[in-house]
Amino acid sequence: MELIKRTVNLNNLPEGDLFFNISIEQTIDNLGIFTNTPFYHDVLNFDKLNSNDMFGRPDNTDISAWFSNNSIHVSGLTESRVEELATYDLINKYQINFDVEKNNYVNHLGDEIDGVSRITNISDGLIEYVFDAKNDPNIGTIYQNNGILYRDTNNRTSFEFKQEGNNNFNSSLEAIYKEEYLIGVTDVLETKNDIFIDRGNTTVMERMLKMSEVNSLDHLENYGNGYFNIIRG
Amino acid sequence: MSNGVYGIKRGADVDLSDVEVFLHYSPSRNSRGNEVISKLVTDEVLFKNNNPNNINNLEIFGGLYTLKLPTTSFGNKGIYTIMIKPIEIRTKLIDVGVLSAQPNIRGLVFDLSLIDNKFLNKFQNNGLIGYRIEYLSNTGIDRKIKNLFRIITSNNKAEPINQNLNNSNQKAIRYRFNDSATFVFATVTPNSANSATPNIIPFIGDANQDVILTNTFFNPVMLEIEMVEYDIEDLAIGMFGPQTKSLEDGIYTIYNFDKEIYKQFSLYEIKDQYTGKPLFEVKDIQNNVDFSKGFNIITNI
Repeated sequence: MELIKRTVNLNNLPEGDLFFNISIEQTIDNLGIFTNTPFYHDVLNFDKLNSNDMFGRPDNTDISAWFSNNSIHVSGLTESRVEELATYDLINKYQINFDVEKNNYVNHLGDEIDGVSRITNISDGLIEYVFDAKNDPNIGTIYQNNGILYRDTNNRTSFEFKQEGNNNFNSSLEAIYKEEYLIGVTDVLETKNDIFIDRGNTTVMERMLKMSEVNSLDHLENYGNGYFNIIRG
Repeated sequence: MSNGVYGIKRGADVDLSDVEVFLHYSPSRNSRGNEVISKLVTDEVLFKNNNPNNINNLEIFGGLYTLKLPTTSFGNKGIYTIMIKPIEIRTKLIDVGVLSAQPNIRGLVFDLSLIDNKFLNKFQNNGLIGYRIEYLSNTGIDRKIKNLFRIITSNNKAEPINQNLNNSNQKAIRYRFNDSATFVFATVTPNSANSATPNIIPFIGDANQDVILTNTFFNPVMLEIEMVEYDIEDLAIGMFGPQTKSLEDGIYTIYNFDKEIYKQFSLYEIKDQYTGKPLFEVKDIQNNVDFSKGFNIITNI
């Protein structure tokens, strides 16, 4: 524990209060990964608590409070994907409003989306195109809520989409608990299948041939990255 | 430059509701002082500071807190020791059990109805991770079990179920996670058996045992404030400050660095009344200050 010492002269004591600034620190450690298991009935609720939870979610709200509700449109720069929407037409390779791909899917909110991938606008060096956008009047505009909108202009490609945050598709709303043997383990177990198996019965002469390559005890220890099982007497 | 390295100390941004402040006073180093440590109201003596990098909003500045001590209560000569530590949550273990789906996972069971309302939100699922749990004996006067604590590694709301064991006519209470339940099942560490003695399980608590839960949001801090009559500046004034000695009446005056009268003494000799032989030179503090010995008055004569 840190001990801070201060001396105050009673002869110079101010009227009112004495003030001291102090430093408060936290030393942290990593518990590692947890194990998840579903809640019985697979539900979460807050009604047994009387105030906001540790993440500021209010009491008496339903499970949707765990998900992001205030999605906004975000944008950035990337490489062009317009080639993916090229057609086989030799003259008019890029065709406006031609659905190169149609794909019905369910979005993160559980809504059915009749998604299409198409070029929506070509004008004055600008190409606007979408992937998996809902086929409605908002397609290709800033009001498009599904899929990704791209704009190619002046050798630059920007993308725009509506963020989805935490949702049913990327979050597991299950209880997590800690298994002690995993304390401090911060990554899931990794299986490496690069295993060297030498059955030792390839030929009757193989062991002898390997020994002929060994010139010293160091070589013997290092041979084949530990091929020989050396037992020290 | 190194890769993959991170610091493990951070300026704490703990809320004041998670902090307790205690006070001990001793008049001198020669005595133990107060035998009872008093508790201060945290909100009245400890304050957060705002982060200047976010001027539009109230945002705590991690690591820097201000302690306010009223001089009316802290105006005595002596040593005030102030301890700032994580707040204690005192409750009782309802049970110690295992999960129905994972019988090798042992844990402690709390009852939300026994938790003080102001701490209930801490018992949200996994809100207790990192809390330290200390144990009280159910008998005796000094009930706290020394040198024994566990760290909570997870907690979820749970309910009991009477579950069949391997033997078909045997049943036992086990727990399963249910977010509608009012019990909380918490795992702690250490609780695993040592591989060398597999039949020994570390003690993690007992049913009906009183326990103390303490957050680990910050490291405790102790502040020792020594109220003194003289500090190093007083010594500097005595040694290096301006001084005058009135040869006519023997008044010896010490001034501070602003040339204001700081202390005044009378200098005189005690002589043998018959022979007139000087016996002692005396320097006695002058309680009634002679302001005619002001530094500017004397030096402008």
